[in-house]
Amino acid sequence: MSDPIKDLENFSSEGLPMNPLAPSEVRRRGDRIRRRNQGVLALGAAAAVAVVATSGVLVAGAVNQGEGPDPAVDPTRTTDRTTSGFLTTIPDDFALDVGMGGAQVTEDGQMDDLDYCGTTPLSDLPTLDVRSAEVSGGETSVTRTLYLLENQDEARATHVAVLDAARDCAAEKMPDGTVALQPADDSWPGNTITLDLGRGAETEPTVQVVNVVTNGPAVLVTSIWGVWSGDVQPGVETSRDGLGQLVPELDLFGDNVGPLEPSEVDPDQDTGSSDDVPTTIPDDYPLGTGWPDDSLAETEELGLQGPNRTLESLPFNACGETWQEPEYADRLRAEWTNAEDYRARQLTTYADADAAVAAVADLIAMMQACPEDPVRDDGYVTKRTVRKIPFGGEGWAILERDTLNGGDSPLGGSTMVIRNGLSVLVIRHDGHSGYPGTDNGQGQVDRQTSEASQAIAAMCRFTVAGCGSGSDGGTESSSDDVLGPDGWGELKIGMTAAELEATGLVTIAPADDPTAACRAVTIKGWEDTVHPNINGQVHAFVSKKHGLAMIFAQPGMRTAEGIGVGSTVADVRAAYGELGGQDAYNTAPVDGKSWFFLTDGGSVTAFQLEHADQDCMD
Amino acid sequence: MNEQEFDDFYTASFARITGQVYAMIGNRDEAQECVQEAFVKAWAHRRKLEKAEHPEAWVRVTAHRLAVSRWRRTRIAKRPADRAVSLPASTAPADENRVALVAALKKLPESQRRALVLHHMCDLPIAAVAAEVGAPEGTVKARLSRGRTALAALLSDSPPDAHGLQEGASHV
Repeated sequence: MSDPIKDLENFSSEGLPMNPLAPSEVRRRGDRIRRRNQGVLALGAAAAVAVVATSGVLVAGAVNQGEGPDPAVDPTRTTDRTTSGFLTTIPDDFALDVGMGGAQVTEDGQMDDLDYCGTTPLSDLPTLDVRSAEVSGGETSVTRTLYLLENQDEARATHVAVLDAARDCAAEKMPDGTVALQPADDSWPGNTITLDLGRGAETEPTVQVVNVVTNGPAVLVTSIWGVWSGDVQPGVETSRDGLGQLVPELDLFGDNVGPLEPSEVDPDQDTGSSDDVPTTIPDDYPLGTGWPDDSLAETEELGLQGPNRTLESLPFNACGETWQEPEYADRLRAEWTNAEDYRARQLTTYADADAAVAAVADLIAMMQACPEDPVRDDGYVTKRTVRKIPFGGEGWAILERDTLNGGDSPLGGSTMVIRNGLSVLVIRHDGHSGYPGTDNGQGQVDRQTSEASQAIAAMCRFTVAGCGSGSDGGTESSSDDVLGPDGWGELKIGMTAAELEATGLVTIAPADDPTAACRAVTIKGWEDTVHPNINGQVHAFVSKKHGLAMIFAQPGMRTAEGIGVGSTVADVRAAYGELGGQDAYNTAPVDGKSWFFLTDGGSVTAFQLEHADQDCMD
Repeated sequence: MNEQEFDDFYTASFARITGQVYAMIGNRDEAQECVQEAFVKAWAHRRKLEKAEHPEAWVRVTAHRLAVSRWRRTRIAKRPADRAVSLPASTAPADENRVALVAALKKLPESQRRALVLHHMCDLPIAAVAAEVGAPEGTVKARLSRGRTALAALLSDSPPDAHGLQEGASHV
């Protein structure tokens, strides 16, 4: 075979035996997924009867029914309900467009992009079903989207998230408009938010009125634009009048929850008297842990730098401006860099928690105010989303995606800002470890925060509560639970059988076959192994040729880089670079040692430390 | 995407995508199963598919993801392909060149293999490969270059062995 690339180019599936399912079968299975009760048991007969009855009432009501089978006589209709009695799909005959006149109904979330100061509370909702109705053109634009979520709590949280976004945006006082949360009103079963862009705004109409109404697991979000600038009240009334016919129908999905309040602004639960809280960061703070090993960087200048106090502070730029940060008490920096791979951490302490809260609020406000940077010299435009993440006392993800000529590019950066007590940790990734991805940045958030898990956990020392008993700040975990990089405790990879026995820590099984390359080792105090690679109680292997050749991790053990059972393959790759294998991965050897990770395809299920030339297992 | 459009899309691209995924993961039956499942998901999420600029890429990415996320084998359990999971109709004689190529591809790191297949077999430009695998173009270029070199070396040096079929016993 002379030119493999030619072969690859001519690689054809012709002649490959294939026996695909019939297209109709593929669709049938697809439809089944679509209707599936996510994790909930199939509907019982009683629930089905209830649905049919309800649907019948709906049909009998004033709903303008299209053609199609009568739900009351078609028991195969799949208006599934969960065991709790809630619908899991929006019935086909649910008239979301009632009273709209000539609306276009689509099976997607037209309100997904609802945006308050850069926060889009409706994007990427975990919906079971969604439907929209829209009339636009001329002077008016009316949109309704019904989101059906998994349960009432999700629905309520979604509803509150919209209110929070509006509340936060209202507090920001946008230069080009006013967002206002209208006061709750007994006569209206939901919340109303207005956005007034002001008279003379470039776009007419200038006022958007958004209504949010939640029944059971269903959230209705509507938007209407009109020319009510200056006095939005007529707009509020118009919008509510327009929903008059629809709102009672929402009872189909569950009880109305009424108007809700935004969540409490209470980032200070973990603060209090800060007299005893240290502001000095210990030199051995685990700021640089969880990154790939220094030796994996392509040149010596690259790789790990710090943690130290000499690296420059991380700048924050948005819309051409640099954040003017307030005074702080102490700062530690660390970086791991490689070609096109920039990872930086910065831990800052402030005089007290209030100062830390204020610093984060200031920074986040600046970032939220700039969803899009001006065009750069190279033609790229950075688009920015800012959202909360559930870490520390408060956490934020600043996700930046570079676009070129309006199209996506694989470039961008992700910055996590996590405050706990009087400390603020910034975790920033740029280059190919930093692009936020298309999943609302969730994968990126997971990667960065799991890499930095030790740095995040140790922030507890800067809170009033401290890190709990028996810890001086969480800067170290029991070394017994750490496997590697060269062995476990006194037992080092490469030690001969005699050296191992001399430690008194192991028992080495006699070789039942004199030609065997390796003998099994058990380690005193270790549990019976549950390692899926091995039957029976074997904790390690010692090789005639290479000495201690393999140690199987015990449950709960982690590598010095923080990788253990449950870590994702991405975590492993982030910690150890390129991996060999598929589903079962070997890392590149470092100092003659290598890691082997078993995975279920997504995350680690077991792992072991190996001599790079081990001859005990294939 | 209506039923007819979906059926046409499925009929037209099933074999092609299966071939591509086969080259990426090295197991024909598994490739077929994953592509099948990806099409089922495609219909289930057809709104997403409609939004996708390249529906075929959507299916390919989904199938690849499914393949990667399947529990395949632990090294201890490594043994000749498990016939129990193969589909009944796979009886045609294998094309030797293709088998050798796939076997060589299998020895490359996954990222290089995927880049090679996407660029040379799926005819995607570097930028599209970068977008599909979520890596910068420079990285993709490096993977392609390393992958080509490695592939050439593998196919010239390696004896025609049955790679990967060793017993995974531990010699205790």
